[in-house]
Amino acid sequence: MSNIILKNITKSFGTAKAVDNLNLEIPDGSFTTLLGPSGCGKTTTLRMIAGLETPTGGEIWIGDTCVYSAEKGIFIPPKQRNLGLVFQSYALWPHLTVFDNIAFGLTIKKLSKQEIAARVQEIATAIRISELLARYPSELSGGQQQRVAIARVLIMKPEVLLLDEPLSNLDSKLRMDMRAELKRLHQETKATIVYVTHDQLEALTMSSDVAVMHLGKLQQWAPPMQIYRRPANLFTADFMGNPKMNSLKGTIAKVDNGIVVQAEGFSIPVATGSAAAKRVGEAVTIGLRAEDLMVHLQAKPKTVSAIVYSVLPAGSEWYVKVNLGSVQLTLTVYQEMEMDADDTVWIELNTNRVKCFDSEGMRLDLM
Amino acid sequence: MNIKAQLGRVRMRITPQVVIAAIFLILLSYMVLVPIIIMIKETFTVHPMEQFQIPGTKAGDLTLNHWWKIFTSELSPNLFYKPLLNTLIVSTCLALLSLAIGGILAWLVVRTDLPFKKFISNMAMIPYIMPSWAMSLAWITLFKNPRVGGSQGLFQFITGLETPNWFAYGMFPIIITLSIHYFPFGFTMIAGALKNIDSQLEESAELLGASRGQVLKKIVFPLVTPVIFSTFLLTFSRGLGTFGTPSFLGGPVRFYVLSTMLRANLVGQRTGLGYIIALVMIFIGVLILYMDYKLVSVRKSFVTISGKSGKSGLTRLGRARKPITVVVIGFLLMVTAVPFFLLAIESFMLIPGNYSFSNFTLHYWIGEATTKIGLGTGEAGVLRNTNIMRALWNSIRLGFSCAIVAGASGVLIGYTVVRLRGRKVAQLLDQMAFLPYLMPSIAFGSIFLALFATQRGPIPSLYGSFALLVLACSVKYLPYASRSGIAAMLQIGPELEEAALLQGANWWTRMRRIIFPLQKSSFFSGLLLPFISAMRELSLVVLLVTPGIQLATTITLNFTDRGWYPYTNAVMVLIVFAILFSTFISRKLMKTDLAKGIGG
Amino acid sequence: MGISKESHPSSANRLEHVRDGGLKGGIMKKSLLLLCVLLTLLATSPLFAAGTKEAPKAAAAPVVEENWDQIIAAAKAEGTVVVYSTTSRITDAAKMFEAKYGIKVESHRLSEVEVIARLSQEAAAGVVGADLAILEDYPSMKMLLIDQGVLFNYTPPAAREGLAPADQNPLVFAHVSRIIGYNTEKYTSDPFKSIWDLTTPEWKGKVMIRDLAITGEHQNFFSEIIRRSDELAADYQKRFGTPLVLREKNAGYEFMRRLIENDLILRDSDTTICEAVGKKGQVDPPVGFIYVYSKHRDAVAKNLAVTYSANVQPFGGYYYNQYIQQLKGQKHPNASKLFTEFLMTQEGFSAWSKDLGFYSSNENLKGYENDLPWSYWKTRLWTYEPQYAIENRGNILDAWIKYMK
Repeated sequence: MSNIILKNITKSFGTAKAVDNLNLEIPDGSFTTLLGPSGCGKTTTLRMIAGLETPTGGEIWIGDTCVYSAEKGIFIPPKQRNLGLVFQSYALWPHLTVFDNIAFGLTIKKLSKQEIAARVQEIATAIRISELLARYPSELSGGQQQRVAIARVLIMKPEVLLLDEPLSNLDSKLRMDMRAELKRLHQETKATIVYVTHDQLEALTMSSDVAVMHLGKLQQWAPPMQIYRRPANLFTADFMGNPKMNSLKGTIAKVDNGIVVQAEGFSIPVATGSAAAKRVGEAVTIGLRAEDLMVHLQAKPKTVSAIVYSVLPAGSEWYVKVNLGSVQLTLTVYQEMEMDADDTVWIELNTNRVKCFDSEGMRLDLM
Repeated sequence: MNIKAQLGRVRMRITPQVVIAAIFLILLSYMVLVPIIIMIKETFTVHPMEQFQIPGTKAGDLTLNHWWKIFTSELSPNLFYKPLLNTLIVSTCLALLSLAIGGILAWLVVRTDLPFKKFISNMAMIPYIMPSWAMSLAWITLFKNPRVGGSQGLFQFITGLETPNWFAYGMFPIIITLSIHYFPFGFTMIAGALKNIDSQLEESAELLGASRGQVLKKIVFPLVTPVIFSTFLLTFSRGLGTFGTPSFLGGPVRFYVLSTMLRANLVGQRTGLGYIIALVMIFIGVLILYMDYKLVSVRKSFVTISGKSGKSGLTRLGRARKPITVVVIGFLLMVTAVPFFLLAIESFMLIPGNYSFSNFTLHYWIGEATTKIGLGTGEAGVLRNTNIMRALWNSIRLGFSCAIVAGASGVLIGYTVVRLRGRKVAQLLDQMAFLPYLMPSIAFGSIFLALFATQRGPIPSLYGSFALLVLACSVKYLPYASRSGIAAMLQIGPELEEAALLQGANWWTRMRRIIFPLQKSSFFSGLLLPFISAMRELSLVVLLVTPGIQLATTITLNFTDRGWYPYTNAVMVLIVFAILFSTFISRKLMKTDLAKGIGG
Repeated sequence: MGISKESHPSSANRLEHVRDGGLKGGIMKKSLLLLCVLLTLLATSPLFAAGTKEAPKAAAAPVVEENWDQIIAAAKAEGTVVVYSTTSRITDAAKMFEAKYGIKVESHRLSEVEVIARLSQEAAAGVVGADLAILEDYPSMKMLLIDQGVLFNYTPPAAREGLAPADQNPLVFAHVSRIIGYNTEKYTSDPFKSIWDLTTPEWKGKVMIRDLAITGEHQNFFSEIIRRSDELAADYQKRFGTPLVLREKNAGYEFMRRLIENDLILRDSDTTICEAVGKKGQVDPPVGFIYVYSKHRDAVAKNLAVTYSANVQPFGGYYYNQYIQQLKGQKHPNASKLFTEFLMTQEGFSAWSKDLGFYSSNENLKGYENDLPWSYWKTRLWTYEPQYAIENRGNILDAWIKYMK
């Protein structure tokens, strides 16, 4: 068993809190992504799991072992935690060959030369770098360096694999390839993977769970699609998804046929038993994903007119930016439409998918 | 909470870095802070020789007299303020001038298509390898006027013109000769920084339409500003403490600086007054250090790790290339070959100062001990003089030991300071390790003797041992090593070590297999300055050597005293050669090592 | 032992900080600070203790019956004697002594200031680095070493017989002379009648002296100029026929001031001065004021045209004494006695009697044949009055600094 449990983890640097009372339970064998903008505390969290940083308070468990406890004064050093970490910069030792880089950990364990050579060969073949073994890191491309970094960690057969933005230094095509490979790697090794990234797409495509962090605090922790569909707050909603979510100012109002949210001419029905129904009169923020907006070339009921600002074809889909009153919205369109800048169009909402947030930015369920 | 948990929490915080920091802080407190405290205490104590000047006191009484006398008495202007002003002017000018020389030279070597770069960089180190007095001696030999008597100055001999006093003696030549002696500092440091600047930064500015001059002014200059400040700091504080040159060149026009005034009061057995001056010198140094820290530390981070450095972007000197080359090489020959020649030639002259052909001899190199010819010294020539050769060997041993001790400490301190960056301990250690640099050698030597002459608690007596010399020199020159150690560690990201940590490597393994190999070349470069300095050291070690362990510099004192310059100069030539040879060897070895990929 | 006992509060302190949650730098810094303070206390206490130590009264050497056969035998058994010396000729004497007795002499040559500094630092630290010392600068020696009980006197038989009682304790080994030297190529006859000549415009910017600020004996000697300022004033009157007009409190200080104001040239070594003065072929050579006469010994070898002023009044220079003192706690007392005795005999002194400017305190010993006898120099040279020098030398340095422009 190598689930990871973080209990009330806090990490302060001076007066600044990098991580603030974080509670997380990463299941054994899961692929959990810590997602957030830079400075949100995700890397610090990863490093605390690895044992490279000491938390200021709280407890960390890996499997059945408490590896850190502020209260009990426990600190298990990193090397006894049986985990591997791939650094953002790969941290390959420039003075050692690829072979020696990969073999390093085994030499620490004082394995025999034959065994080391065999295991290095094995992993190198698996990860397709066997022809690079004699080279120095400076002679490798970015993708190759990353493979070496992963090989160096995998050879130790860690139960927990920590990855710190491993793809950020690669170009976009290579990044796609590597995503697939990492996912594959997860399936093959069955290790618990904790993955740190600021790229929401990576989080969406690869993880079984995503923990969104902001300013040291956990915002939401759920499977990726749930976060996408039901973001816990405005921040999460904003951060997840590309193009960025549109937001409109609105109010909850009682009308003849029930309760609605009124925003920029739209009127979104609110179910009577829902949370929002209890807060009539409050100002709220409406979140609209680009794909939840439909554009029509003619006026229709329940539509609001807008002026096209620009049209951005992106192959399989088009992005359309329109001006609606004082706000600008981005829409995704999946079919070719006759549209040009300054044309008038009519916008319809998929009211089922509308997200609503209160003045604090917390989600208000409309259903 | 129970004790065990508390202990556990404490243990968590005791990382190897913290342990090293603690060890170094304790050692440095003992060897640096304690001397300062002793000095402070002395400034409030009536010295036995002073009880008649301070009425109503006896030796050992507490007094404020020294402070009063230095700062507010009728003597103060001559005793303190004028020397202070002179010191500040000399140090500032010297720092600026050596910065200018070093900076221009560094830029030419690193950033232009100047030919013979290797030759020029090697030559540029020689002025520092030679003793500073060689430069002042050369100045006097060349430019002296009849005021100091003796043989004519070479300049006057050739041109028939008499140099004015201000040119021949006092502030002007002190600044010039010391700048020539210290510009290699600036050269190496600025050249290093220039090499690290990503040429893309300059190229992008050029693409935006900036001229060469603007690029230099707006991009390059700001980027090397931290290094410029550090260089300024290093040379400035060297200027504060230098004693020999001001004494030699300043005397003829009665020009005093703080270091000569310090010496005067120590000779006069007025330790209290002397130590106040020493403390002021240290204080000025600390002030500069603080300014350097305030001004530079904020920016430091961006220059050192500015990414990959491109190879391209050498400025073409065009038509100016030839004249500039001639000027540069001419200048370097002037400041290296001329003093060295003047130094060496005297060791070949049977009677000093007699330049006739028949006077040239190898007597002082390989002659038998005799009182019959030449100066009739009764001493064997340097090369067959067992005492001198043994002393020279001791100097070489001292140089190496001190370089290794200081160098290794420098790497460790660099490691600790960088790893604990942002924490007060790191800052404290960084600054403590620099303090010895600011201690005037004359005062440091005698206090060091007092500290280590006898056993104190766990610290054994090192009296009369070679180890004491090594320790004193290592502490004194630690700043060179720790500075280069810090600079080098800043280039190595912590994740290289963390990766090894996660692989189960303990601290020592990480140091041995990751940090040291990566630091190897900067480690060796960091050794160079302590090595050179220790080989040439005199005032620090003169009280610490014993009859059994003489050094090349201390053993020649006898000869200098009697004006037997051929011996002194021959020994100095040997020291210079020993340094050059060792530098050369270490460079060669380093190269071969690097070619092998270092421990691959 | 102090340190282990004291370190407990510091570690307790550390724990307390953890409990308070005072983290990171705080713990380290506090306890380090404590440690620093402890170390400082540890380091400084014996040092300062040494400074205030009860000074034992220097006992007048009682004439004890000594059995020299026993001393020699014991000395040979000791095998070695270590000496700090300000004179480099000690190595020659050492060779002779070794040849004669088979006792090794480790000689260590230090400057006048270094000998004092070293002996007092060693004493403060409780180390006895040598058996005996040859040193000068009486005031420093007396105040810092003899009165502190670092040195004691021993008068060997040869000295008891041949030395004036005043020279026996502290034992005077030799006299060293300092003279006023000029270039004989330029000045075929003695250019000076009075030391006041040096302050006249004719000699402006031509008088060279080893900087008094770095020369302890100069500081001592100038106290004598102050003490005997009446003689200086009288000499001025005699030389110029007019009374001296004082701006300072007496003729001695006035002389100092005028000397400096006459554009005095300071050098850092007597050797340099002698060479500058004596170098042949100079149009306008400088004159050397009170440098060590022994520098003239190399005049022939270095091809210098130099001699001393024989006529200058009221003093032709000064002399100072070199003393031999024993170190308290010396490891080789008998060898030290024997070596002291040896140095006081003709045989030992022969290492010095080959040169100018060095005179045994025992007038019966033969000096250098080309030098004039001590009886001549004694009348020409002044020396300083020890107690007066002790009390006034600080004022001399102050005055020197004050007059300096």
